[in-house]
Amino acid sequence: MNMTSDDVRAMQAADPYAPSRVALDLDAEGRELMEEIMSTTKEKTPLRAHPLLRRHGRWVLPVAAAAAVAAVVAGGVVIRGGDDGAGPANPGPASSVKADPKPGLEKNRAQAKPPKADPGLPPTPENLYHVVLNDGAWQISNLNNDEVYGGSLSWSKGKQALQVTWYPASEYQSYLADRRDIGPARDATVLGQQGEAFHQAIDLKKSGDQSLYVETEPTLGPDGEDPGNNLRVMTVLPPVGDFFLEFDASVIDEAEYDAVMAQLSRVNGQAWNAVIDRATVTPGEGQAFLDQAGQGVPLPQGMTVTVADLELPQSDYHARASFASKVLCGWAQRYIDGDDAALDTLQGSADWAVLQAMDDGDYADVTADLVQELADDRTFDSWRQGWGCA
Amino acid sequence: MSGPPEERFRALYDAHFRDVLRFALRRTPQPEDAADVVAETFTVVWRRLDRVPYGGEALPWLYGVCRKVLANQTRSALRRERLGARLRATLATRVVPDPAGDVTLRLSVNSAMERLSSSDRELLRLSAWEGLAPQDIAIVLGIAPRVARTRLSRARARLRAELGPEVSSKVGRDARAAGGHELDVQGASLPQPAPGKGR
Repeated sequence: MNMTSDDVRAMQAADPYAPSRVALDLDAEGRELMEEIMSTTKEKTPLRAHPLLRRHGRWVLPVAAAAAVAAVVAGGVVIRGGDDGAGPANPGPASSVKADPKPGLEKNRAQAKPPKADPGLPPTPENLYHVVLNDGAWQISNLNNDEVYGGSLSWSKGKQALQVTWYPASEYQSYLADRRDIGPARDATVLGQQGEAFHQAIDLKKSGDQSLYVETEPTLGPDGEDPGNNLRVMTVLPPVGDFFLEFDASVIDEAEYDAVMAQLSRVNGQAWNAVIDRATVTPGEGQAFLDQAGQGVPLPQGMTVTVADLELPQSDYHARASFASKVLCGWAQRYIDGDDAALDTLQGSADWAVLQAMDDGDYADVTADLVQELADDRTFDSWRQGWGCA
Repeated sequence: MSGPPEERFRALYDAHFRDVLRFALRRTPQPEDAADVVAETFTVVWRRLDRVPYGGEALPWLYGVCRKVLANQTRSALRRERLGARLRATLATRVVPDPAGDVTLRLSVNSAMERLSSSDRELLRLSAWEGLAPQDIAIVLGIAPRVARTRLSRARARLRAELGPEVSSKVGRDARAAGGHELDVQGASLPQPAPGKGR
């Protein structure tokens, strides 16, 4: 008897749904589900903040197209509204982008780390997510917001990332229960609130363990990315008013985590809006931004790109994506229409400065993939979705 | 009128719905939870159809998607779209795990499995429950085939050590008595029994 077969047999004996014992006569149910799925749009649903569904990255997938991403970000950045009256702005630090020269493609970045920041204002329903990060080496990388579902604000420092997400208070227990599945919590105090922190070694991801967390969607992102990060910490704080906060950090080590968390502070609404403004390209800065983004980028005959195409305000990354996507869509359409030379232009896009300036996200890589797909197969149609073409 | 994407999705769904459902059932605490996982998995497939590999790699790729859905699930997120209500209801009322298995053996194996790492457990499940070869396990886990083969080999050695010779022998006797089929261990290298556990 082959001993090796026995251990596998033992495993099979423990299969709770072995085909020989549990029949799945679910044709009707399965068929109904299939029709339901096919009745949904193939377009990606605009992202809602969800820490397990989206981590800090951007453009992980081609289908996380400019249209969808930009819509979320553009919608989120318009977080105007007056001062919440909760008190003066934190006088110190502001944020990573405070000293950034604007406009320009190279806004930032490395600045000396300031001393530990004052945690700022105590949490109120009005100012709960008015959080800033007082370390110039960290830059705002993404923002979205929704009055009902909440939102998130992300910072990055190289491969390291920190995101604060505000969720509806009604989902607090559900999220906390999910996080507790990760492992034991540590007591944590963040911005004057006591909560629970869940530390997770990222090398678990590399091992293919069930503790995988991928960004944007739980499905297609590559496993074990962020090779420089070894630690992920999710900190859940109790609700205040309509929302609760969760901080989600992917960092090199505990020291980096402690350092970045020590630089958080809460400011009033006016100060927070000002920080957001500084971190984004505003409509008033649009033309100068366009002039710089367009350097070295050939436009298809008859195409113009205007400030309106940038869907401002949004982050410089996303503004670049908006610009590049319109141009790439134009060239791809020309290629599909029979202009072979357009493929050369598309293949040369890897050299465009505007794409090279986006190396902190996946846009350029995804673009290269789409161009290759087009080169391999002229009937390949997913480029429209990938670049968010009309 | 159906175009090629619709036809391909229907073909994938028809071919693999049960496999994916069984995969999800094996990894969710309640049968009805699997409906949400399957719905989410195939919704992703529908939206990302151009990313699905052709041929024999499609199913392990689907398992990989399903596995990540499971890893990322939250109750609220998976139930957001409320697809598959009928499937969920049926699973909740009609599908019962393993109604006829050998309880003693199952408990022994489950106990041994619990003492393994989650990584080992998943490798063993993929091999023994889904019947995947190492190269397909590699697709599911997003690792190199060589790595999958090595890890699986080690996981099986650790399982044998945890089970001990008595349980394994009983399994062998039962299988022979029942006319059980030989299991396809497709390409897995066969480690020697752990010291002290030799048979």
